[in-house]
Amino acid sequence: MSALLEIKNLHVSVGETEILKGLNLSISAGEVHAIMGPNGSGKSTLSYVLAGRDGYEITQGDILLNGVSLAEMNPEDRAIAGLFLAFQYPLEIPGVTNMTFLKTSVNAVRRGRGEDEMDAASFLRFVRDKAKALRLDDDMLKRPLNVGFSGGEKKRNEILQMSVLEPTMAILDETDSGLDIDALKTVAEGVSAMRDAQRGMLVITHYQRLLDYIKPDIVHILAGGQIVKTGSPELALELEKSGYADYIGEVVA
Amino acid sequence: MEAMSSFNSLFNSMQQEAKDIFAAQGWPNKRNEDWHYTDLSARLPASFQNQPLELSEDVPLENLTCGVDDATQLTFINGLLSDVEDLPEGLTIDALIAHPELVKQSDDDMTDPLLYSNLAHLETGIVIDVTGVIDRPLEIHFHNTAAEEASFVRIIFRLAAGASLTLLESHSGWGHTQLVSDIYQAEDSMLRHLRLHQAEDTQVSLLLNRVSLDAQAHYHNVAVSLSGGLGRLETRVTFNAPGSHAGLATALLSGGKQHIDVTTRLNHLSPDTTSDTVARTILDDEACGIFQGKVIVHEDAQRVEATQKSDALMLSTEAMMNVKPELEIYADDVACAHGSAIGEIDHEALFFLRSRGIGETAARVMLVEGFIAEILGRLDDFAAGATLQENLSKRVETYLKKSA
Repeated sequence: MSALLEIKNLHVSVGETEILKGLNLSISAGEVHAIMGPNGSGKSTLSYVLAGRDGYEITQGDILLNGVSLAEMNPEDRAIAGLFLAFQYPLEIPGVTNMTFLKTSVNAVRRGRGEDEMDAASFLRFVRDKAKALRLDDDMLKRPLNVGFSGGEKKRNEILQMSVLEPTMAILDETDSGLDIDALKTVAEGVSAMRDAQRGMLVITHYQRLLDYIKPDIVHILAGGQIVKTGSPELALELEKSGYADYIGEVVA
Repeated sequence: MEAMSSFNSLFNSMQQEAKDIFAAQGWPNKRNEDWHYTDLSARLPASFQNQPLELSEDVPLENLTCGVDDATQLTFINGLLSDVEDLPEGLTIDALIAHPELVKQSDDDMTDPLLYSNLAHLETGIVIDVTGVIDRPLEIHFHNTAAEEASFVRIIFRLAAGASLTLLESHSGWGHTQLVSDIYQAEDSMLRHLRLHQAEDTQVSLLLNRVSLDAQAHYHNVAVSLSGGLGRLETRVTFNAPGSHAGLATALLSGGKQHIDVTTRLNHLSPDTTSDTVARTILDDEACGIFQGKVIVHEDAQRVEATQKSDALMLSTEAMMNVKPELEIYADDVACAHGSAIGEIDHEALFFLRSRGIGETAARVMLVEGFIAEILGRLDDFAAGATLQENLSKRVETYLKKSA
């Protein structure tokens, strides 16, 4: 069976600097993978290049989602194709209410997928149910998107977006950063609730902590722009003890 | 009758004086400090064919007015009051020519180009008295039907003590429109004033708004400009007594070769008065935007609070924004602040929205709408505020999608 997400020999440069240097990764539907790595290893570059941000140039290799190349696709079409990136630093957008944003987003994706748009009343019910599960109250739906939200609220709001967009492939970029333990648990519950046999997830993190709550099937270590080790969840625990020092030299050597 | 004819001669002599001044001075040029960024002498004809055009048919104004069904509608076509609906109780309209003292009071400064040029060419002058709390909005719509039409109107509003009104002023069409609105607000009166400027791209609008506030009088102005050719939206407020307040909020969307100038002058004569001014300007193509905001706090005007903020969003590298904030403060116990920012679309925010499936154009429109949302939000307290916000949001969206 072919993989849901297939990253093949991916080389990515930002300006003159090559950040990813031949990264290979294959995620099947139903699997949760974790990528761990030290600062500067290329974690954020990987998440941005997957989502299609400007300025990240693929110089070699390819990214396939359900067998279709994302390399030349713009960010909105990737979302329609089923990709979702939960941002490490969600943006604040003054003057646009969370609800307006969510509705525009969901309907844009539904249109793109050839589905009917949701009317205002059914969308309201739909989003309220999802928000409740993440302990986001109605007030936060009425406020401008992420403006004045705490770190935890922003991250829960990212998960809310994920749950209304129902992606087939979700990437979580350092979703644990800036969260206290209670917020972390709520976020992890929200993510875990979305695990199912049709969906793949890639959890990108510096620390093992998040993986106590979102248990991955497979753990990879990213260093120097390549996956240098792949293993079972125990690999994350090992790292927690011994740190990244063993891996930092590996690619250079 | 005798009084009337003596007034007519007074009016005629004042108008003749204005004509003489206009003939000698003409339009201001950039050596005039108030007109430095908007040189009218270089942009406007030295004289006008001042015959209102005959209308052969009804002018369709749907989608040009503010679109509030229950508003009382006054319509000026080519400078002439063409249509007056039944007026609600507490609202009366009279000809300016019946009020000699008001013309004198209104034309107190014949060195002011906007005043002498208006009086020299004046076609219609009316006085609107508001004596009660009026629930229905009053809409005054101005429309010129042709490029060669120039219309000159003076309106004097008098709000009695405790009176309140939502005034919707809208402008559309071609040619040249010059309006002087003098607003006198007695104590405890409230005027909510929306000014919607949605004209063709060759149109000229010179709109002067002068507001005089007594104790506890509140004036709330929201101005929204969607295109037009050359525009000067000028508002001057005088705070005569404690407790008076003015809020001026402007949202400008300009493109093409439009030149739009927002000038405000807040004159705090009295202590314990407050004002807040906020302008959001969006410039595309080769448009030029100007914000000149002046706050004057007189020596005895202690405990004045005045804030002023101008932000501009540049959608094109060919567009230009000029900002001139001025504070003149002669009292020592005041809280005054001004700030301005000029920036581009936030590319990170754009990527964020696109990553959620929202197409690039729609994402840009969303960010631009977000930039002026606070201004439209101020219509909350207006009569028919929800309808106004909905209508204006749609117009803004249509405008942005057309120009995207």
